Amino acid sequence: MPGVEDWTTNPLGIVQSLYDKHGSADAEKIKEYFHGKTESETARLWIPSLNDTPLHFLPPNSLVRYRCMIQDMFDPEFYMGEYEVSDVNTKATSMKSGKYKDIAECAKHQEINTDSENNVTMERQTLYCVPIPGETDWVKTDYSDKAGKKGFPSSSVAPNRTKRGLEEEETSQPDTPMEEESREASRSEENKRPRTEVVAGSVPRTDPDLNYPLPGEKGLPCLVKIYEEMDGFAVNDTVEFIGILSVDPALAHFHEENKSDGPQSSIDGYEEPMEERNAHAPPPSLVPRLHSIIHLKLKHNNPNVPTEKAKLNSDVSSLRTEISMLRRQILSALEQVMLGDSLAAEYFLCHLISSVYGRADVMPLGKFSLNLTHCPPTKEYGQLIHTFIQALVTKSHFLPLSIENMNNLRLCPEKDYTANRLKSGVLQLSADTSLIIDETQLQPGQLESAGVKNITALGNLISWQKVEYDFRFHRQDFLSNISVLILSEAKSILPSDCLVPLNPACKIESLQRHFSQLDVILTPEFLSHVRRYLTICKLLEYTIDDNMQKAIQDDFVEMRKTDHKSMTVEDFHTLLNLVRLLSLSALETSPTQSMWEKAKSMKSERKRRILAVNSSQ
Amino acid sequence: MDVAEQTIVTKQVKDQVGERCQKLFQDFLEEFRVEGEQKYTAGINDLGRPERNTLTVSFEDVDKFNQNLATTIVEEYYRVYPYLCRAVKNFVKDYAQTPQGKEYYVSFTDVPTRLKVREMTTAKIGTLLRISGQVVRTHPVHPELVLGTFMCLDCRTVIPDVEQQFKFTQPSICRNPVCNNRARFMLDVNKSRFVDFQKVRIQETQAELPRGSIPRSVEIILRAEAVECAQAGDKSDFTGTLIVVPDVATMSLPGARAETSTRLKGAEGYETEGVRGLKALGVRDLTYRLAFLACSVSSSNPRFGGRDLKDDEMTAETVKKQMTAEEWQKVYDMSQDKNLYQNLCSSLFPTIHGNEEVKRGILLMLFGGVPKITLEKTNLRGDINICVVGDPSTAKSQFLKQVEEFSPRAVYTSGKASSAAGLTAAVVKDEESHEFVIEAGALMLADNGVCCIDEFDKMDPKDQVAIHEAMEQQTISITKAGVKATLNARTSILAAANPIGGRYDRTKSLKQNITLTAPIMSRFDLFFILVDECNEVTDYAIARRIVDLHSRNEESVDRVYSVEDVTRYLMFARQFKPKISPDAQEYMIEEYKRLRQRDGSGAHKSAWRITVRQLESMIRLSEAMARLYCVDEVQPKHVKEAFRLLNKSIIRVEQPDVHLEEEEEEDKQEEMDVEEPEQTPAEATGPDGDAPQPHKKGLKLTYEEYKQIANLIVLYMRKQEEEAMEDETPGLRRSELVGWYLKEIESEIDSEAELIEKKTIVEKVIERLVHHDHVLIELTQTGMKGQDDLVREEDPYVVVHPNYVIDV
Repeated sequence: MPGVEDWTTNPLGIVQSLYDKHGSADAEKIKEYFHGKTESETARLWIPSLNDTPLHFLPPNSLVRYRCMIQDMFDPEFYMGEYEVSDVNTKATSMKSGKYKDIAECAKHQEINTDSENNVTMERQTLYCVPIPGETDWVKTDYSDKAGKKGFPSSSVAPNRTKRGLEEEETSQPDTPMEEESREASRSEENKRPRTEVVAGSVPRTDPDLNYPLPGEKGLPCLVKIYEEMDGFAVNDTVEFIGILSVDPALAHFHEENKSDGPQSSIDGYEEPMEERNAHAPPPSLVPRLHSIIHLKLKHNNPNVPTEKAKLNSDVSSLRTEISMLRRQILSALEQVMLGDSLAAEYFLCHLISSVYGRADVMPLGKFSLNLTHCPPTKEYGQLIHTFIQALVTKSHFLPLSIENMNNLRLCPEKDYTANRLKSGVLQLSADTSLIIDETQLQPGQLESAGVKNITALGNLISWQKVEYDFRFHRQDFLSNISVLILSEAKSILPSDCLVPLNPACKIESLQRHFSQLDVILTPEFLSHVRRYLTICKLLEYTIDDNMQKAIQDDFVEMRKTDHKSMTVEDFHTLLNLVRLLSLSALETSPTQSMWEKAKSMKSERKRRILAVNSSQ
Repeated sequence: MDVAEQTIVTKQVKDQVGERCQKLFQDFLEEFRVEGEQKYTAGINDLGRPERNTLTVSFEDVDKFNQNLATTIVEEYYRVYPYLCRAVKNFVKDYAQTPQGKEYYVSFTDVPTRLKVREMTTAKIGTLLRISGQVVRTHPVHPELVLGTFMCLDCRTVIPDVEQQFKFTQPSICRNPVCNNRARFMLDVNKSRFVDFQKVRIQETQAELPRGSIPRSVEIILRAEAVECAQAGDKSDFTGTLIVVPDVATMSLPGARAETSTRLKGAEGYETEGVRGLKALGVRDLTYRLAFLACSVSSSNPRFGGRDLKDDEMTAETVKKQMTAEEWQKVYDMSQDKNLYQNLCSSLFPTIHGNEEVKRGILLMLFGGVPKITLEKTNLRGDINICVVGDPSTAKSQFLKQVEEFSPRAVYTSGKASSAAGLTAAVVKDEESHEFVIEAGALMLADNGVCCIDEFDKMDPKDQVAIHEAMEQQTISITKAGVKATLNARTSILAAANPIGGRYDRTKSLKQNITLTAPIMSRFDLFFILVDECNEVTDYAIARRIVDLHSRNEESVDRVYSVEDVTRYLMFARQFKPKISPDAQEYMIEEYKRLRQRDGSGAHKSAWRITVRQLESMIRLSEAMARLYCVDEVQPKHVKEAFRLLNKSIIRVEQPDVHLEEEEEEDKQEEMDVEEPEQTPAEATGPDGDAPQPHKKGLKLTYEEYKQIANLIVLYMRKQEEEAMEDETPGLRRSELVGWYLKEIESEIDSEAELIEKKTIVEKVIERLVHHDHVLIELTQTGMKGQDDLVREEDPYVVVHPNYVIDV
């Protein structure tokens, strides 16, 4: 592919030539051009990805991909969309496009006419993006494997081991000299930054808060500049951007000159305060800029599931042929995890494929938060379950519900008006993230006001699938779609859609050993099957046909007649949800009578269990 | 070369538009008259005072005076602003005794175009506009240098009036031709001119925010008299223009020179570049920062203290003005809708089935009554408070959430997770300044809105008490740590409470069912009880609805009016201040008297006294009803609906069993219908084969009617009994009683059918009083006194239960 080099390494040149050719009506043309180039998936894979390529391997102003979640939206900025340059010698002027770049450039013998009448001011918006929070390791690995050989010195660079992963780099053993070298390079660049900062002095900054929602996250955040559909993006969207990387060191506003200038520069306070500048213009080595040309909103981040509709359909039909077998296998694995409880395994499967598919006013539909009670009260179990879930789903987070965590963590994002940015919180997660809350680790203690707020926030998340972001003067609800699994000893303090007391079939002596038996089942092929299956289940469309609707309605009235206490409206919601998830888990797009019966029997079985548990206490 | 002079010269040459504007504007100031009086010369002497320097001009006046001028000012605001200020200066010089050399500014109000923060685009740069938003951050006020006087450090030449623009600008060269100093100057602070300067940041208000977006913000630069007009938290309107601020940080670098040099990549290159002037931005960096240069601030909602004048002054007219023609048409159409009441209800709560009364109550709450101030300057609240009590899973929370979603200023909070301090206001010590500050709680935040409190009963009783004041007086007083303040909390409260024990116990009264104290309870205008009822018909409807939701999500939510329509309508309708018509007044008095009477003679132990509070509630509800239809007068029909709702609520509070009693009453009567022929076969006047039709009608007996009849009977019987004491007769026979009653209501009876109907009714009432309420006792034990052997069981003596006390 001879052309590839050109449009991936020098996209700005192409933009300029397109601009020269078509004049100011270039926006569409540029998009068209790059769309054409990136239409096929293989072509897209040619573009290096910021997610798995260390920043220093990427030449500035080259075309890159970036898979991320929008964490914050900054105010729109104005820029010179077209500017005039004139030749110093000949005085001949020409126009240049200012799009997709941060810095106006011209050749050595030219200068920019900043006062020219022909300059056009345009508007663009900056989004602060972070790598998808909670993205599991296999997703990262598979994505980078898929992108494959980049012609970079080491294609074996682990995806999560980007430049930011300093600690990790130090602990891991170098395996190839090549990699060693790259690490050296990265380190030296890392070192450069603190040094300049030390000179900058008075700014007491150890490590800038890069605003990852989850603590301990790694990967490169990015300031993405968008040029169109500015209102088309929402916070927490997952998007893949294809755009031009801009890492010019000049973008960092951390130059000490500001300081030395002393009182003179601070006249009138027109300049941004320090905190704000730090938040909005961090050094590009830490937070590169990306000028988005094309964006694809991601419905899922499973590298093994195609994004194209047609391909997806063929995948579904191929999965359907082996569904009963596959479902059995999955259930047996889940049963193992649920300590031999087959009912819990069924519920667990439903939970794994649940996702909010719509909202009736304030009520979210499709959520299925599961509260597993009577879990072994050890730290181990929660972690083992989390490891297991991590191996299956694309995004997950494990949150031990301890007094300490509740009092100290920031769950809800809040606006920091000093720095004018949204400080992220643990609950700022993108759609379809699995959140595992381990209540077995809760001990009696004093909840402080922050703790009460956090517990309320978790409760709201579960019941309304909303997270309240604190804007100090008001609170703003943001819709979320997070499936919550609560592990507890008895009924949890948090609400849930479905409470299942765990009924271990066998006495488990060592959880470790019990879970290690799983490894036999979880072969790589099987895992990849399951991962695809889970994602596809969430993507399926679901309807109820008229006959079935009628049957269900009649059934409800009938049940109410016999005992209206046992069948409340809420129960009915849960039941309808359950039958939906059961159908989807069999890759059916509408329920059948037998499915309905099965859901009902599962429900009554569960109710029996809850009663038994309650009476035994 | 005199650089300063030169710039002025070039400007004069260049900007004819500015010059013209200056002249026209000066003409305007001098000539504009309202009713023959010169409007702007009147207050001009004030401008001489040292703290004043800004002349406020209504833009509407300019528009009236000269449209061309107005258009030019709007379109070229930034360009002509200095000329307008100069016009003011000349004007002041001509008409008032003012100190020399003072700078004057102009500020505009009433600018028609009002923009949201999100609507500011590149096209708006430099034009005059008004934006509104919430102030989120204020910076301290400090002086800004406008005209600097410099002294050359080499030759001591004084260089006056060097214009400063966004940065500290030294003269580029000493004006002394022989001195070549370009760098060493000293600012003479005493001779330089300064202006107050403040930077604030405003943010999009919640209501304007598109779903899923982070609110946008913009920096506002305030100068001169506009400083300190906005506090954090205020929602304010700013008039001025959008400007782009050059990156001052780079501009003020030591290397910054007037000549712009552009370098290509080079380690040092960028830092040494500078830019000059407003237009010469972004050589190094392509982006500009935005700011809004405001000349006037009007606070649309002062947060603490003081009545909200702006809102009070707002009339339906002004609201109408803010709407587009299309929006207005929609509002008009809605106000003409015959079925408006119902349609609004269903549009508000499309996903909640049934519970029509609750929906109506909440709807009226959103419209609200008219707040009044009595002659003694006491405020009477117009807000309606509602409490919803009910079993779990009866969509209580959904009501609250829905209202929160709907109302522009609503706060949702859970009683479990909030203390009174969180709900009202708390005094806290600021960590940095060690000052005490008042922190607003949910009630304050919902000022002029709705505060939804879920799990109200879970609140500590102590905390419930704390919101008494808020509910009735609509203020919150704080006396804590030396801070004493009265804050406004004009909010409607929508509370949801769970009954004790999780389920509503129908055999107990409302008071026994919830853990609310009587004072709190009396402050709610309406109480609603939601009980999980089992009914095949509603079950079917519910089932259909839910299945619909789960099968095809989008279509199932059908509203007559969209959310935006309803909120707009609400805003419009809330501007009405309906007066009570004489008819309605009469009717109200009538109804209140009836309520009082019933209360006075009421036959129940859970005394829920009908007090003036209920009358006030009735007035508020009637006003809300009138507002709903956008009329200026409360008419009897409005009172009727208000009374109906109140009745529903009061009766339940007063005699909570009734809710169920009504049901049971009906059930029972249905049963009785069947049994009747056997039970009372020998009634002389009662034909056995009554057609079911009149019976059906009889079933509709409401609680009031029932009570009315019962009271009538009991009172009569008591009287009779007193007399009977003397005659030694044990009491009245049932048939006698029936006969008496029918005679009593003779005047109301027109036909035989009606007579029969009334008769069955009264019989059933007696039946019920005997068997259900145990108010009357049937002396079926014949021969008790030895005299009544002949009395058949079918027509026993009835006496009033000796322990029965007519509740007073």
